[in-house]
Amino acid sequence: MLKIKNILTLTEKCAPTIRLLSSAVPQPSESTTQIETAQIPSDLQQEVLKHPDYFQVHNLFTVKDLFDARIHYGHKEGSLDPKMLPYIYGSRLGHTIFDLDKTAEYLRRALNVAAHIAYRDGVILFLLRGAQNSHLVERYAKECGEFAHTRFWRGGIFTNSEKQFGAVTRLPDLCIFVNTLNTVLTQHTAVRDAAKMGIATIGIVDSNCNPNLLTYLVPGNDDSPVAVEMYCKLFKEAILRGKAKRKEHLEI
Amino acid sequence: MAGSRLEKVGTIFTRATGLMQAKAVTWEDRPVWYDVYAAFPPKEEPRFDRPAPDMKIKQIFYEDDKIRAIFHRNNKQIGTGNLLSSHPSLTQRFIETYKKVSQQYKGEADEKQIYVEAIDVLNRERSNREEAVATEEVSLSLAFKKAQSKQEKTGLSIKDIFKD
Amino acid sequence: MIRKINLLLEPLKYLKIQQNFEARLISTTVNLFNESTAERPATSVANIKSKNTLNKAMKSYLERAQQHDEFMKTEKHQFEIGKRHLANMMGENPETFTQDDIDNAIEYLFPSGLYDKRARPLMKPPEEVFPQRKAAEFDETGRPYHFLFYTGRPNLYQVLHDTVEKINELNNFEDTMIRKNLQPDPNLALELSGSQWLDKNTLEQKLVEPVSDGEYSNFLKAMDRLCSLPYSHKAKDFIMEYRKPLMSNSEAFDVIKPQIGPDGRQFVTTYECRRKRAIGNVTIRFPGTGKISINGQDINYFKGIQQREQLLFPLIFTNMQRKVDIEAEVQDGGESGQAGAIRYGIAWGLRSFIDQEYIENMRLAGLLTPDFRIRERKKPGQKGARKKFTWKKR
Repeated sequence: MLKIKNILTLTEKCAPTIRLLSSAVPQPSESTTQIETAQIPSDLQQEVLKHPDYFQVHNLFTVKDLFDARIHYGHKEGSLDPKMLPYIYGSRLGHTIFDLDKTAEYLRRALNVAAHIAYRDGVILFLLRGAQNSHLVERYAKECGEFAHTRFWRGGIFTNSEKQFGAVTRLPDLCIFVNTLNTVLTQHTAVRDAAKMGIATIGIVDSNCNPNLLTYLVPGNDDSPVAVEMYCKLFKEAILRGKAKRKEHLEI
Repeated sequence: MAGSRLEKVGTIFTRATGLMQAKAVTWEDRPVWYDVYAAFPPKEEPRFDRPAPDMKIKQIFYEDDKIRAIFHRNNKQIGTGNLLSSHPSLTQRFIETYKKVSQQYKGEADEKQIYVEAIDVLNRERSNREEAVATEEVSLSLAFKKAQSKQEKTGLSIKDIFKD
Repeated sequence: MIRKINLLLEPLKYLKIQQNFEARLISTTVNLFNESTAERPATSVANIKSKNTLNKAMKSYLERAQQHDEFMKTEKHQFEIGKRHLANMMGENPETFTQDDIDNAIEYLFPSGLYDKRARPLMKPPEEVFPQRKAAEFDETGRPYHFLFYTGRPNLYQVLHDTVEKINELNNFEDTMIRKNLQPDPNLALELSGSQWLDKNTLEQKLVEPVSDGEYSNFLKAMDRLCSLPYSHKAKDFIMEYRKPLMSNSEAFDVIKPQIGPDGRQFVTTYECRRKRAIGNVTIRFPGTGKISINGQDINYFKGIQQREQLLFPLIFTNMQRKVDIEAEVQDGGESGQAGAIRYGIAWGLRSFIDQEYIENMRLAGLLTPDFRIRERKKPGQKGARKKFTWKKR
C-alpha cells in the first residue's frame, strides 16, 4: 500500500500532459511507435561505421567559419590549465589563442560521433551552465529533437536516477557539454557523473578547463554567444543528418 | 544495471569492456556508443590521470608589433575600438600606410623618418575627409532652414494657442 | 535487394570524392577503420534478439502500471461491497443508491463536529480517494517525450523557456517598431493591478511538480521582466495564465431584490446589522428625500459628530443623500457601536439601488465588510485583556 502510494506520487511529478497510468502501452504524442521499435539490420550498421565520414560532417564548417565565430579566443594566460597546452597556438599579449586547425580536427571527430549516436537512436543531452546562453542551447536541442539541461544541476540525476525520476529511467547515451564549467568556475558535476555512469561525453573545453574526463573534447571558446551558437548549429545539423539516414535505412 | 562507478580507473571504454568480459553485462546490452567508440576512438584516451604535457606556451608577436607599440605610446588618446565594425581601425590604417611608405623607401630610410611620413599621410587623409563632411553639414543646415520656412506658412503661432 | 546494395555502395562513392578534397582527414580515420573491422561475430544475433525486447525503463513502468491496476480493482470491489452494506443499513435499494445517498448516510451514521470538512469521515469511490496517476513519460525505447525531461522539472523549466522566448520575441518586435519610429500605445498597456502571480502552492499544483523557493523566485523574476516590456500586452494570454484575480467575482454577494411597500415605494430591510455589542435592523426606502429615523428620532439621536458622519458616510460615498429614506431600529451597545451597525446596514441595503461600479467601490472602501471585532474580556490576575499589573522585581 505504502509502496504503491510512493510510486504514484513519484510518477506524478513530471509529464507535461496528464496521461493516466494503465497497463496498456502508453501512446506517445507522435505516431512513431512502430518505427522506433524497429531496428536497422546489423550488417548495415557495421557498413555505416566502416566509412570514415559517413554523414559528411566535414563539410559542415570551415576553419574560417570557426574564426568568424571567435572560437580561437581563450582566457587569460593566468587561468590556463596546463592540460590544454597541446591545443593552444600561443599567447597574444597574455590571452591564449587556440589552434583552429586542431580544433577543426577535433570538432569534426565529435560531430561524426554525434551523428553516429543519433543514427543509432541514442539519447543526446546538451548541457550548459550560465544564464546567458541557456535559452539558445535549449532551443537548438528542441529543434533537433534531443534533450537539454541548462539549469541548476541537482546532484544524482545520473547517479541516483531511480530516486530522482521515481522510476527506472533510460539515461542519455551521449552528453554534449557546451561548456564544462559551472557558474562558479569549477567543473560541472555532470562530467564526473557521466564518466561514473559510463556515458560518452563531448565537451567544448576552454583554456581554463580540464579535458581529462571528456571522451571527445573540442578545444575552443565556450563563452561567447556567437561561438555557442556555432557549436549548437553544427551539432544540430550533424544529429539531424544521423536521424535522416536512420529514417532512410528503416524504410528499406 | 551492473556498472562500475570508478571514474578514475581506465576509460569508459575499458570499463565497459571489462564489465562485458566479466559477464556482468551482456554483449546485447552494451551501450549505444560502444561500437562508435570502437570505430572512432578519441585522439587522446579519456583517462582521469592523463598527465599534463611538459610544454611551454608560445608568445605570439608580429613584425609590426614594434611600430604599433610606438604608435600607441605616442597617441594615448586613441579611444576604444568597435569590434563589430568592418572598417579598419585607426591603428590598422596607420600600419598599412607605414608599410606602404617603407616599401617606397626600399629600406633606405630609418624608422623615425617613415613613421613621421606615415603620420603625415594619415593626417592628410583625415583633413580631406573632414572637408567632405563639412560640405555635407552646410547642405544639411540649408535643408533645415527650408523646412522651417515651410512650417511657418501654416500660420499657427504659440501666442494664439492660449487665446481660445 | 538492389536498392540495398546501392545504399551500401553510396558511401564508397563519397569516399572517392572526398579523397580529392580532404586527403588528410581520410588518412587519419582510415587507420581507425581498419582497427574496427575486427568486430565481434555476436552482433547479428544480438540485434535480432533486441528487436522484440522492450527497454528496461518501459518494462518496469509496465510492471508498476499493472500493480496499480490490480490495486484499483480490489479497491473498487471493496467500495461496491461497502456501498451495498450501507444501503441495506439505511433500508434502501442498493442498486439505486447514489453517491449523494452515501454522503448523507455517512453524515447520519458518523456525525462529526470536526471543523475541517476534510477531517470528517467519508466514503468516496477509489478513483477520487487515490489521486490519478500519469502515464510513463517515455516511449518503448526509453526515450523521454519532453526535451527538458532530464532537468527533473520539465514543466517548470518549460515555462521559463517560454518566457524567455516571449521576451526575445517582444524585444525584436520593439526593435522593428523603433525602426519605424512608432511608440507603444498607452491604451493597450498591460493592466496587472487587479491580479497577482500564482502563489507557490498553486503553481506547484498547476505544474504537477515540486517548486523550490529559489525556483519560484526565478519564475517571478522572469515573469516580471516579461511584464516590464513596453509591448508586454502582446503576451497577455501567456502572462494571465500565471496570474489570478485579487478578489474573485464569485465572492461578489447577491444583491437583495427590493420589495414594494404599501406606499408603492421600493424598500430593502437588512436584519441583524452588528457592530461591537450593538445590533439593529435597517430599512431603506427608495425613492425618498433623505429622511433618517433612528429608533423614532432623527439624526439627532446621535450626539456626537463622529457618529453622524459614520452614519452618513455610505450615503455620501454613493451620492444617495437625498434619494433614499432610512429607518433604523438599533439596541444595545454604545453610541459608536450603534452608528457602526447602522452604517453597515445602510451600505448593505444600498446595493439594491446603485450600479455595480459603486458596489465595487464600496467594497474597496471596506463598507461591505462586517466588523466582527468585539471587546476582549478582562483576565484575572492581570489588569485588562492583555495589560499586566505593574510588577517590579525589587
